Amino acid sequence: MKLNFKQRLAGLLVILAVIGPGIITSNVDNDAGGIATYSLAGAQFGYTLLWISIPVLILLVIVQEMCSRLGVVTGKGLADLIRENFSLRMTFIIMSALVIVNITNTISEFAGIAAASEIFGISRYFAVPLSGLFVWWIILKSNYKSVEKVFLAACVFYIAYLISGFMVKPDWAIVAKASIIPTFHFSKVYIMAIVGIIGTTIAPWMQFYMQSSIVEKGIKKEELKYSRIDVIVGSFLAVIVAFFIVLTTAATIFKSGVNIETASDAALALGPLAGKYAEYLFAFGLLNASLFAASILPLSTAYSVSEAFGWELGVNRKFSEARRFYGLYGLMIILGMVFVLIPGFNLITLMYFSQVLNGILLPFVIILMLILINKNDLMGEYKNGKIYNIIIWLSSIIIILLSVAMVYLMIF
Amino acid sequence: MLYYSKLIGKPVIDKTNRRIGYVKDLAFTDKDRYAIISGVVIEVNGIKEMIPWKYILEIGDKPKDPSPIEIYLNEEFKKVKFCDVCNKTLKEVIDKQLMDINGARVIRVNDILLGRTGNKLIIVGVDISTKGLLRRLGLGFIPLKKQEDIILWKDVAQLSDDKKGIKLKVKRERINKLHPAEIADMIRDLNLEEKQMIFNSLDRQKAAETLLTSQPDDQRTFFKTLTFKKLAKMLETLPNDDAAAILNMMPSVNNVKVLRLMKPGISAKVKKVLSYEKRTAGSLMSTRFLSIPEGFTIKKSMEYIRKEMPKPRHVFYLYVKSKDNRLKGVISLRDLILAKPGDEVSKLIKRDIMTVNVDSDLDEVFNIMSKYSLLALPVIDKDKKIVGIIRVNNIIEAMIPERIKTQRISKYKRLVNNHNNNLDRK
Repeated sequence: MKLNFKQRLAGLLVILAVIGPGIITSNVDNDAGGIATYSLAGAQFGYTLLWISIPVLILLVIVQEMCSRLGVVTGKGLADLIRENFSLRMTFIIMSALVIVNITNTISEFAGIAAASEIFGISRYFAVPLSGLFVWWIILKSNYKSVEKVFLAACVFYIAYLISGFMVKPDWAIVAKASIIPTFHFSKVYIMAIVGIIGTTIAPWMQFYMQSSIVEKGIKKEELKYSRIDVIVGSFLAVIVAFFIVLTTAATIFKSGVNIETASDAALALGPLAGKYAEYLFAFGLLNASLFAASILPLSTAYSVSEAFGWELGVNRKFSEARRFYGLYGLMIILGMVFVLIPGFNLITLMYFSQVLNGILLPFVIILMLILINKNDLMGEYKNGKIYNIIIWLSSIIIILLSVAMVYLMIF
Repeated sequence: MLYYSKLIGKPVIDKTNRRIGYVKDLAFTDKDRYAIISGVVIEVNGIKEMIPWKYILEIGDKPKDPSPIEIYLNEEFKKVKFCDVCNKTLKEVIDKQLMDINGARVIRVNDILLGRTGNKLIIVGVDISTKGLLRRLGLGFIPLKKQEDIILWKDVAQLSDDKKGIKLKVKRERINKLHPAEIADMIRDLNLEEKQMIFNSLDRQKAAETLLTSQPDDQRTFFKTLTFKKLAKMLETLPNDDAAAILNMMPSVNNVKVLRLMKPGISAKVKKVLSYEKRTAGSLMSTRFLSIPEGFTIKKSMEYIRKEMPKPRHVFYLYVKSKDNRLKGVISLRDLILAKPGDEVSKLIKRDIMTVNVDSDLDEVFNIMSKYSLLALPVIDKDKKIVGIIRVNNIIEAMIPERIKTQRISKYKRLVNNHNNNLDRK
């Protein structure tokens, strides 16, 4: 009996040691763009979009699991694998696209920081440079372990959305019903909202980031099952947060019929409807999420590009050892800040543009991942099983179709 | 230079001028120091086939042609079915990670440098530079300040069972980062084409230093590959006396041409060194030495040494000059280290010193240095101004008979010999 307890405790410790990449990656999905999308979905369609949480959860788990398995088994990042298994030209094109997409994403994160801090009465010309410095300092002064701790701490603050969800006192019976029974309208706006939610939850950069951080963490094959737990817990948390954001705006803004365009609009609209505290909580959540994603997106880009081109990389390296890695990281942050600080720069158009780009890139990344994970010489016994492969192909096809649909709907 | 990227996709032509396919890959067999390309892999109707290297007549160069390289076969060529498992190919090397012995990530193989020696094609090394990356992407026309960075094949050990990548035998031995004497040593063991290729892959200063420390026959090989302009640029990176030493190896007609191409300020100084007669102190001396004016304190002198130290390679003495550059005395580094920081240097100066003139004979220089056990001897001109010093290693080098110099063996050979001796003993 005593031994049994010890064994369980040991198991728990291993899980805690492996956990991190999955939770962090999934939570960063709820970045500035994500929060905007969820807030809009709730504000426009009320509770009727809540059912999407469960399918999104399944898709997220499946994609992330592939990613973590690729990382754990091969010991290489996704960009590494693309360079080694496909042509250099393909690698170059994917990397160029990724850099551009991630720059637009980073800009929208800094825009999120600017908007949220202005709700607290802090000028963006102060808040944005300060957070840029903070983000730079955090990476430069740390190694993987300490960075991970900071990021995991940032995950905790997402609880702000859960609290604001409870504060607005939704009708729980309707919520429960709406989250299980799907409803569907065949209107362009409704379909775009669905596609948008899936599009912001499953983004190209996260496949690269998650796999790189698994490699950097050095998770072994024997720990694969714990890594799966990490993925499932992470996806679950991310979807819960998204669920509560939709819930909050559905219970307040949708009912009152206020028209909003951005996440900060949502926070501001919450003030008169649910009280100042709800507004501040919502804005705080936005600030935390944007800051979090603003540090991870440039980092993820630097990882991927350095992997692909064989540059020295990793937060465990010193600046002098990995100049190009840190250089790219810094450049992304600077670009992100500069665009936000340009007066009159149309950030809503940019966020729109960034979502379209994400949608174009994602199908390619998913297809490459599927090819890689079915390679015998790469994965060996860790290849997909037959039935699992069918499920994965189906999910991937759904994601790809949705991305194509999103790009189509947004452009035409 | 011939790179993997330049051969891939190029047509393979048989004797009747018929195109039988395009180069898909190259198979190789590992030898001691480098690998030999054993065959060309082509794809015909989706099936991979290999043409063993013995059927390859030549790799044609047609510089003006849009596809400048074609592979020509000789008459009775045979194709062999390509077998994935039994052949190692360059596809397995390209784009892979290189890691040092500790398993730490180093860099990626961006291209592979091949070398033609007679009929054979060998793998000289792997290119890890951004230049190689651009070349592969067909963007080779973008001018880059940085040179190719090539790791020699002998330092790339392939561990096929290791999924993580290719390992380096040596810890990050990049040819551009080696000591010139080591590069010179290594180059001795290679054949002509490899020598030239490696020499050309060095940056200016490294190339100049390597040229200086190489064996005479290697030096001749390098001179052949250099244009006067390139040589002039190389010499500008060297100290004047070293530049003069290199120019002295060439026929005097040519060195006038090279001097004319160098920056006027530098070439004037080099000309000065060249003007001294052969086998005189002036021709052998180094113009890099540390000198201070009379009134310096110990502390100031130490600071001066710290600042100037990287320039002269070895420092044994600090020379003290008057305002008009006359040599007043000398301080040994030993005395300087033992003195108190506040003291004036005048206390330490040894004023009664041995000197030679620029036109003194080397035998005289040698006699003085050996008699008084000097590590360095100052050289003065007719106005008693100090113009250079002769260090003990310079004079030894000058006095050793040629016969002994050619017997010197390289570090690598020494290692191999020791290893063989050890084996014999066992």
